Amino acid sequence: MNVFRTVFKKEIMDSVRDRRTIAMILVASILTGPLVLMMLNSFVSKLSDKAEAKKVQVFGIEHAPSAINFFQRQGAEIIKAPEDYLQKVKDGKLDAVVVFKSGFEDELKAGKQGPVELVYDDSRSEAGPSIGLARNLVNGFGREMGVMRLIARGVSPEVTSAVKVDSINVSTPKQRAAMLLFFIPMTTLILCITGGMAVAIDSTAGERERGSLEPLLLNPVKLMELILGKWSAVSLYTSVVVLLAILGYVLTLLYLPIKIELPISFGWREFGLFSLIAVPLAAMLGAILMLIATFGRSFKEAQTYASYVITVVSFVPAIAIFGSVKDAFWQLVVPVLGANMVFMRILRGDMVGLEHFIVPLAISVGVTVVCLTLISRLMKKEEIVFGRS
Amino acid sequence: MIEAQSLAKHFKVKGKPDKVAVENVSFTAQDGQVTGLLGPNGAGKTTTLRMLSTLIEPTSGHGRIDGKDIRDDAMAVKASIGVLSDARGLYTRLTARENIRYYGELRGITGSALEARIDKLAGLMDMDALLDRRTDGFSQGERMKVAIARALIHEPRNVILDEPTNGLDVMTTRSLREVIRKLREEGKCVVFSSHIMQEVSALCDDIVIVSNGRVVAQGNAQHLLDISGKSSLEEAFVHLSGEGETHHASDDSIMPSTARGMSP
Repeated sequence: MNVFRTVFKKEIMDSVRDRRTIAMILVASILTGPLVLMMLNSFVSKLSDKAEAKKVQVFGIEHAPSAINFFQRQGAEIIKAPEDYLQKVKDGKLDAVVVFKSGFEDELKAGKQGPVELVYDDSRSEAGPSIGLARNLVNGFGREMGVMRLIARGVSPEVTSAVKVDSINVSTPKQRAAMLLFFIPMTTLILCITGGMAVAIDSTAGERERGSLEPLLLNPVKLMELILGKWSAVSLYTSVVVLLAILGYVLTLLYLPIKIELPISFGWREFGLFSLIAVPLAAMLGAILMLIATFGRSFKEAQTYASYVITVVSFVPAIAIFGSVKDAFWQLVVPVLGANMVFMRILRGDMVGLEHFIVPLAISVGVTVVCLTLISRLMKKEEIVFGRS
Repeated sequence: MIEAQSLAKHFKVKGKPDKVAVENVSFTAQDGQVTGLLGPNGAGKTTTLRMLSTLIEPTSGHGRIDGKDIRDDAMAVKASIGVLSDARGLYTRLTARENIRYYGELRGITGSALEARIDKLAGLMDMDALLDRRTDGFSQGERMKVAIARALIHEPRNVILDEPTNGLDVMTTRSLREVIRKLREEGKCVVFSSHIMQEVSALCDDIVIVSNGRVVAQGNAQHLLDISGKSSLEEAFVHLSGEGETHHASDDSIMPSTARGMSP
């Protein structure tokens, strides 16, 4: 155990003096939570402002008094759109404009179709609510006019609407918030790998690059003890970075004035649950990083290898969301994907059971053991010990 | 005591015949003596020393340190030798003292005993002023001193130094010679390799000339002069190691002229 402690202590001391790791801890971990939440907050509040305000931009108000009257009855605030509305929409300065052509009212009175244009650009997601409002108002007006025409001819309105649609949005506010807060699992996962990356590389490829591996292995110590000491330092580093980041989220949500209420609880209970997943994951990813970094003859070479792992890990949350992978037991068995699923469940407030923690933990332990064994084999190979760039 | 018995090392090379780094090296280095492994670059000195320090497994042959076999008893061998290896990198964010202390602690030496040894080695190596500075930016000579101190921290009975004077200035080389003499006075077994004749003749009680992975001559300076029939050691060295080469060229034509193992 003495060797283990000595190596662990040395690696920690060595890396604390490394500006790269300290910068990593400060920038990446402490700032992640507040920054992401602030960004989300301003995005979400913009959305909800628009949805609540019910403002509609109209061009040609004078051409359609009856439609304007309908809009106002629906509680919409009418805003006169400027002359160059087309350009303004293209530039993203206006979200959606309802354009009534001249002769609109006359066509209606003649029992024909009134010409209306809806101008919008749906490539900007925050324009969504305004576009939806404008479309609903125009459609609603059209339906009302149609119903009145049928009644005037003595026909029941039910003739044309064979289906009665009631919209019931089952996405509870909590679930909607989890969609927005997919950033929390993503950043947590990424920090699980980048947090201790510098230490993982320095303690493997760094030893090779410096030419300190050969003399180190000349000491009468068991190779596994040496590797365990290094791996523990990497794991501690990563865990500290990740826990600080989660803490950043918790503290920001608990104590900073967030303009809109996020209907999601991310408090101390969630902090604890997240940690139970994040720490074993960080330890496993540390072992994987050390393994691939051992192949690197230099810090730079190892960094290139590590970037492949980072890319894969950071794609997992996106795949889970956009590939609409359904929560299932098999996911727990897949490293990273399982962690992501449990993170999402915790955030959505879904039930999490013992298996959600035991299975990823067991997988982490297994993968870690395999990686550390492989590292100890590699470090006996002549081309690793002596092969330097 | 360090013994090499018909040590050989062949490295596997993809798609080519094995590279013979060491073909047959035998010698015995006695306690209280300095034994010099002399030979041109690529003669197989580094590979031989790596086999003796258990980092490379010999293809055939035996090595023993104080009677312990390098294959069967690697831990005990490592414990009884101090090695200045070909690679001698330091941790640049640690001070010289912390670098040396790390190796001491890995060998189970702790506390005041360890600090006393560090101070003693620093005195011997004339590096007190360096001790508490970070090794980043150390000169080659300064780095060498730290590397030697860390290799000797457990006061080993056997010392292996691989080309210790490489890249050193005159002053550092002189102080290194002092250290080696001191080790001999303490009755230790010192083996060091070099490709420089003068260095070996200035220090060694026994000289082993290695060429193309074979020992071509062994003995003290006078013996080498006698068997080569030359008047100066340098000429004797050139003659003897050259003889090794011609001998092999006729004997074994696939033998590479520079078989140096995995060194950079």
